[in-house]
Amino acid sequence: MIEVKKLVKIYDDVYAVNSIDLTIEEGAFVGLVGPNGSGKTTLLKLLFGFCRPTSGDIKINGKSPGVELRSEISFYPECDSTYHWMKTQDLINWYASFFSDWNKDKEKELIGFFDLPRHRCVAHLSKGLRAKLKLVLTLSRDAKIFLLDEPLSGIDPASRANIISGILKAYRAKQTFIFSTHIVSDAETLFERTIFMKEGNIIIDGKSDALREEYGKSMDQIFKEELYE
Amino acid sequence: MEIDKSKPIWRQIVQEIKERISRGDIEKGVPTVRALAEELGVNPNTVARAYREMEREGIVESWVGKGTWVKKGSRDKLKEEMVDEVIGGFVKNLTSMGLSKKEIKKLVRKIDD
Repeated sequence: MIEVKKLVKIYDDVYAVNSIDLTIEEGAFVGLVGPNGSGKTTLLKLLFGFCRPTSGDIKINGKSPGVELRSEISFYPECDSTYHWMKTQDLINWYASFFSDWNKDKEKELIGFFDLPRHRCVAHLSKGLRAKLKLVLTLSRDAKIFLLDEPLSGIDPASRANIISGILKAYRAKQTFIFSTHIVSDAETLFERTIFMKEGNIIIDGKSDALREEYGKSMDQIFKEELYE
Repeated sequence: MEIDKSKPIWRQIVQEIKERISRGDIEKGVPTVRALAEELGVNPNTVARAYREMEREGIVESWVGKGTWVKKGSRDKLKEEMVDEVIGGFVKNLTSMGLSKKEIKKLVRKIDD
């Protein structure tokens, strides 16, 4: 379980995250939705322990973010890895060696599903294939929590469905997923719960189907119509 | 099945499975939660919620480790429900056009075999 209390992160006088309270149950699949600069990435980085809060508290399964929790959390960063000179399978093997929870079967399943070339230099992969490689690295672990930062960013619409299916394939019961995105329509059916962020605040938060009932709108329509008012 | 993302998805799944049962596309075994989630591209918990609802309504039953099965008599029951729904709508449409029930009955009798 993830418990966040009065979380604040200030960068150079800007409130990137502005007093957030949040509880996420084990096994939840959460969409973290908001425009660029709304604080989604900062929140994920704070959860992983990439940066420290200015104030407030985070507890993940009773522990504070940091080195100890890294074995339980898998993080998908928006930026690309710098190991462009390596071949895909070599990079995967090297990355896998750091984690005791690496799941070779999942790795093979995902490589097959994404049709990822195994012996090509990472530098020579298209943007879409690099994203799929990053997903293989992130999802092939039996971690408890998966933080995916904009996995659809820069992906052409035709490949999005394949990426979303791959994530769905990798998702297991009791694993918690937080999936940040500003591209809502393609991914919203994955989100059991959707959290809408704007200017560092949580504006709307609820079970996606309950929000559909309440607003009579899709998550994409709520994002476009309610967040930009 | 085309999902309408502006309406609760679990309800649409209930409707879809009911239709598949009444058409006879599903006779005994309902797809596993995971299989249907992957087929539709939706969260497995949403599918599980739909299955729980159908269990509550007595249409299917779930056995741990064995999956979800259509209960005996469900197909007939669902067909009946759907026919009632269509007839209800049909009568409502015609009465809103000013026809009395008596007149509707007369019209129905005129339908050729």
